[in-house]
Amino acid sequence: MSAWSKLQDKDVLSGAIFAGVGVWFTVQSLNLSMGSARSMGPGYLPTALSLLLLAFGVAILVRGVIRGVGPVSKIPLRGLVAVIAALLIFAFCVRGAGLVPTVFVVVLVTCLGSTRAQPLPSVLLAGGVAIFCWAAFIWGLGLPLSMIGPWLGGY
Amino acid sequence: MSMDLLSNLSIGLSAAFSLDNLFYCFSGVLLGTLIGVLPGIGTVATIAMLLPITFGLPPVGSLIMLSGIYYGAQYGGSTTAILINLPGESSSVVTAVDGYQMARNGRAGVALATAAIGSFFAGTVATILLALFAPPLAAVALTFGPAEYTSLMVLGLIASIALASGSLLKAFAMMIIGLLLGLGGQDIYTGAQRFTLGMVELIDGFEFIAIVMGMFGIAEVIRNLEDESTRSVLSTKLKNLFPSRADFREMFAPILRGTALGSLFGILPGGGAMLSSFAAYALEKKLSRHPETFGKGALAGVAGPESANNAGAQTSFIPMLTLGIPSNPVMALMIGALIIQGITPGPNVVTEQPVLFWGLIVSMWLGNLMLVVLNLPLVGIWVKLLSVPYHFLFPVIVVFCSIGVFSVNNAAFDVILMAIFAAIGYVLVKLDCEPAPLLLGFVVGPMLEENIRRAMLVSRGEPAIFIERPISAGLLVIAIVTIAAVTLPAIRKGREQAFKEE
Repeated sequence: MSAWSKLQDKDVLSGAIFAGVGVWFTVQSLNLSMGSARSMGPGYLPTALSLLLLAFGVAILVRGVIRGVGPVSKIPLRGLVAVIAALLIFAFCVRGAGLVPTVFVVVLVTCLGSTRAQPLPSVLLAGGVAIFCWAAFIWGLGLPLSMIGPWLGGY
Repeated sequence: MSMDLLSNLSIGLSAAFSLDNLFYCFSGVLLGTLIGVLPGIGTVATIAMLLPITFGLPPVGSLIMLSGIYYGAQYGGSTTAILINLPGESSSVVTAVDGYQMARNGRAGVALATAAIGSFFAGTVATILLALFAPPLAAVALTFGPAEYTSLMVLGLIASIALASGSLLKAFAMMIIGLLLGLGGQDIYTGAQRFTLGMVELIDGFEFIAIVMGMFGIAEVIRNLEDESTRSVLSTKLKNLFPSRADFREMFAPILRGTALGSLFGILPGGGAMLSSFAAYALEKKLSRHPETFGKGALAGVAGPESANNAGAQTSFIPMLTLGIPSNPVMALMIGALIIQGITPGPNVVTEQPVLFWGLIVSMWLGNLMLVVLNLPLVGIWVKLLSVPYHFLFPVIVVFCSIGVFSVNNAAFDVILMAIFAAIGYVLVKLDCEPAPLLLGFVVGPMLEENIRRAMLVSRGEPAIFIERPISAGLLVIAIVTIAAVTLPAIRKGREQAFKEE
């Protein structure tokens, strides 16, 4: 097995991720005061757990190198990128642009993640969901969000 | 004792039958079924999505509604499994095998009715068990000190990993990440900030709802987008909904056996509902006089697992309500909801919140009844819902999750957190790392740390306290035996087979 295909092994990858996360948590925990076994400080248990995580990560990594479980299946970026982008747009725009325009855009961007979504139905869906969200969440449940935000001349 | 039970039940009856709570129960069951029936949305995702709408309710009402959502979602999942062979949840995987075949033979109505009747019967029995056994168990747990509690949590976490499917090492690693994330935010004793990267938004810790919705809701959406092949909904008319007399005779014994198995497995930590439905299916196949009909539309193959998974769902409330320890991701959500409502989960809930505890129990039975009454006539509507194409659904899920997470703290930051955890969750699932142990670790983390700290304070820094106390030592021994058992080659093989078996 070539080194490259080893790198794509699910155990190798996840082991590396766990070990990396373990190192990050260890570094973070070491900045906290440890205290003693009798009176544990905020860093005591986190340090122990981080090191344990690091150990598990290395164990999984080694197991993957010795006896791989097979390469990770292809990650189609289209859906992943569209959905994450839509969430970030929501987070950054909902206050400024208001709920209705934000939801409209979020639905459209999310639709880009699907190979089946057609332009016109997507726009209709976006409009429908935006109106529904206004009715249900602002008018019905009274969420403290504006319909049209300050960026677009709302309140 | 029995007088006690009666007076307690009357507290519960008056709470559950209040007009408000009847309404919450009903709307929970209805909403849960509505969302649960949508293909590609599992039970945990459904509850996570609907969790924010319960925040404004009083504690009793919110728990009643949440559990309504839970069994609604589960039943919705079975409906999807039977009608389009798409189990939304691992616990309905086996239902799909024979249920879908029954549907293809034109017996979809009978399969759905069997699932409903089996679930109702199992739910009733499991509710009675809960009422009988939860209070004494809580009384025992009340005598526990911090050392016993620590060992109990360790046992709970280890057992839930051992009983789940997939790689043990990965599950352990996921659980530790969950524990660490759970410790994030301000330390309650010293005020030190942990893992906050100096961000004000993280001082109260990582928002539970954002993590759950990201890892279970959004990550699932992304996974479903990988394969958008059309699913064929059976267009056959749902005639003869009601099982015949022969059907009833055929389902009777499987329902009883499924209920017994499910009630037992539900109490165990881990995939209670899933394990019990798999076990029930295997048992029915073994006991059947016509094992060859299994996989080709055997009624017992629906009745057994469906009863088992509902019984398991119900009895998994026992450790959650009496010990404050979640046995599966759904119970982790319930504990999260309790904490948000300002109630400390643990054995005190039974005595300090009798209205909540007994009201919830009575409403569980009521919710199961509503499920039957609601679903048999409405099944036509659910079938229509199933034919909604997924590319119309998932943008709506994304929007609802965003608004839901945002509304918890009115914080846009939490939506970003959800996006991060969605991406992480998706990648981890691609690497065969199940998110469930992470969630359990996250919920148990703070409780575990608090009890370890207290135990070590009591023992003046001597870790021997965990093995010197008999109950604590016993619990730890069980934990070690559990690990040893699943790592032994012979048993490991059996475990793999049990999960592979259809």
